[in-house]
Amino acid sequence: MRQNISKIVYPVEFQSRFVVCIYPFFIESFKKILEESGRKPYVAKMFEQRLRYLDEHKHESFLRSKWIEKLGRHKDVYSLRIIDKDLNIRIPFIFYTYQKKTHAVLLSAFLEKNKSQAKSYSYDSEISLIKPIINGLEEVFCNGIQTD
Amino acid sequence: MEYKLIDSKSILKHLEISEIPSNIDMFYDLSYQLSTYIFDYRVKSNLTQKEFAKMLGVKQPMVSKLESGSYNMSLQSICDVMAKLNTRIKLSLELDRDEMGFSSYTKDAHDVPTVSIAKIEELGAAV
Repeated sequence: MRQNISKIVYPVEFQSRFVVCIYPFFIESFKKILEESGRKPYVAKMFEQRLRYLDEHKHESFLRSKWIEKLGRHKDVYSLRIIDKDLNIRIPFIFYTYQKKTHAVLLSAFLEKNKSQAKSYSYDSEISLIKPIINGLEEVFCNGIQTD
Repeated sequence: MEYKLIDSKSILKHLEISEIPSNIDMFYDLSYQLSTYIFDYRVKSNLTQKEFAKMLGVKQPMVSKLESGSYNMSLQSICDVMAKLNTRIKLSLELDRDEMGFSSYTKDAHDVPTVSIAKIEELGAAV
């Protein structure tokens, strides 16, 4: 059977208005993790890979579950997964439709528990932190999406 | 606290991702293209990693590595996999130039192009 595989062309500069984030909450939380990781260039590029994949595959992106997962316990919340050495980073996001346009909204970043940090972090506590942000998204979208 | 929305370009700028050394930058960009091509090919072909591994003549954990986006494949392994997928890879080379139009390499009299663009072209895959 002949398969129709699309041609992939190198994106000169990644830019998407589909993927947005909550500023400053997401930037502050992820930047702190990046700076403290000791692996900033590597983790940053892995993050960029997942952004691109999310932008290109949208609602289908969670099929690549090593990169993007759908949370079973928290309805409609997804998460970017970045695992590098001892780091186990999670970036929760939701798909949000405003004025008929859907966006992937990155909400925060945190370190998921692993064997050495078993009691330090968990999805549940992070979700409870970002719940008020999710509930106020309509108002945030009213102010538009800013770009540099 | 008042929140606002910023787009992906602004996200990368705030995270200072542009300051990443170009060798790391290139590695992950090329890895993205290769791993995504392999992953999407497998999913579109409706194959499990195990079935796909059999098709490629490798073990399932190797397929997992190939799809990871951070596995350092040898040039020969890339060619072996792509040949099995009836896919040809072309590398395009170009010099990185500064705002004055000078290559960082020509300043040192080494006029050697860097690999900065890769293109995967489908030849028509038979599964």
